[in-house]
Formats: sequence, C-alpha cells, structure tokens
Amino acid sequence: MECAAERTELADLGTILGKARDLHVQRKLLDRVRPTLPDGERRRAKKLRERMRRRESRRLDRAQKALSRLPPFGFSR
Amino acid sequence: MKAQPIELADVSSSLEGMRRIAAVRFAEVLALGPALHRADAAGMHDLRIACKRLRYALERSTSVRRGLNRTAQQLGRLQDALGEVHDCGVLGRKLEGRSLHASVTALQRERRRSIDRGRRLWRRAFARRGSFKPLIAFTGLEGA
Repeated sequence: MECAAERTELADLGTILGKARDLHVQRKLLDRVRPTLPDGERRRAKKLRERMRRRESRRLDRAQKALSRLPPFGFSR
Repeated sequence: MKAQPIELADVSSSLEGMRRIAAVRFAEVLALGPALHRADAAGMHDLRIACKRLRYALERSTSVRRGLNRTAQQLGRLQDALGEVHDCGVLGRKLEGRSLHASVTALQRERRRSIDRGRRLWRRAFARRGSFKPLIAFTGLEGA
C-alpha cells in the first residue's frame, strides 16, 4: 500500500503525543489538588508529579525523533 | 462508540449534505446526553467523542447558517468539561493504586464539579436562546 510506512509513522507519532498529553493533563490536575492535601501526601504527590514531568519530557523527545523520521510534506514517490 | 455511517449518495446539494451530516452527528449527541445526567463514566466519554465529531462537522458549515459558530463553541466547552471528567477518573485510579487517598478524594471533588459544569452547559445549550437552537433549526430536529 502506498505511503503505508508514513501512515504507520504518523500513527506512532499520534500515540506518543497522546501519552505525553495525558501525562501533561494529569500533572496539571495534580497541581490543582496538591495545595489541599495534608503535608505527607503533598510531598508524595510532588514526587509523583516530578516523575510524570520527566516521563512527559521523554515522550516529547521520542515524538521529536518520530517527527524527524517523517518525510517533508509534499513528498512524492 | 463508532460514528454512524452517513448515506450521501442521494443528496442533491452541498447544503443538503451538510444538513444530513449535522443531523446524524447531532442525533448521536442527543442519544448520549442522558449519560451526563446519570454520571455514567463510559457514556460521558462517548458523549465527548460525539461532541467532537459534531463540532468538526459544524466547523465546516458555519458559513451556511448564522449561529452554528456559537453551537460549535458551546460543543467545545462541553468537550472540555467532559474531558476533565475523564482525566480526573483516570488519574484517580492511578493514585488509588499508590494509596494517595486524600488526592483521590480531591480528584473526585474536581470530577463532580466538572460533571456539574457539563450539566449546566447542556441545559444552557437547550434554553430558549441557547446555542443549540441554530443547530436544531438547521437540522430540522425541532422535536429534540
């Protein structure tokens, strides 16, 4: 199938960006509820938030690599 | 929930095609509306996707009828509220596994607020001068 490889690459990019988006939104939600938490749990939530931030950052790096594998728009065989 | 296929072979104009697409997508939203009132998680997720499909369809029809732009904007707001309901649920389940109980309670509160916001948006959209009125007139679903 023509452009099948590009379609797969695009689908992969969509999946990676979707996961990065989920982590971003969850981190923001955690930030919203964090001030209302008791001290001990607030610290644990902060650690979890940092882990989420790092994972999001790794996903974005992977998305960048996936994007660089795609041919430029207007590409024709 | 998968989108319903739309039969367009017999349409005679682009306006009629747009009207039929909007009517089918609007009917999907209406069918899923009760999920918001039952606070049914899977149903609200499907409703959000249905709102997205309808909004995308309307964004291509805003020039053919005044007011559809306002409908699309309201659908966007409803989508945001329903998206937050879903995100609170997903994060809540993740935190439950880590025994972050106070966080789970706070997220449940946020989720309830988002559901209330969604319900208010839904009610307002159907009010006398609500933002769904131009869509109801455009699709002919007056009885909705």
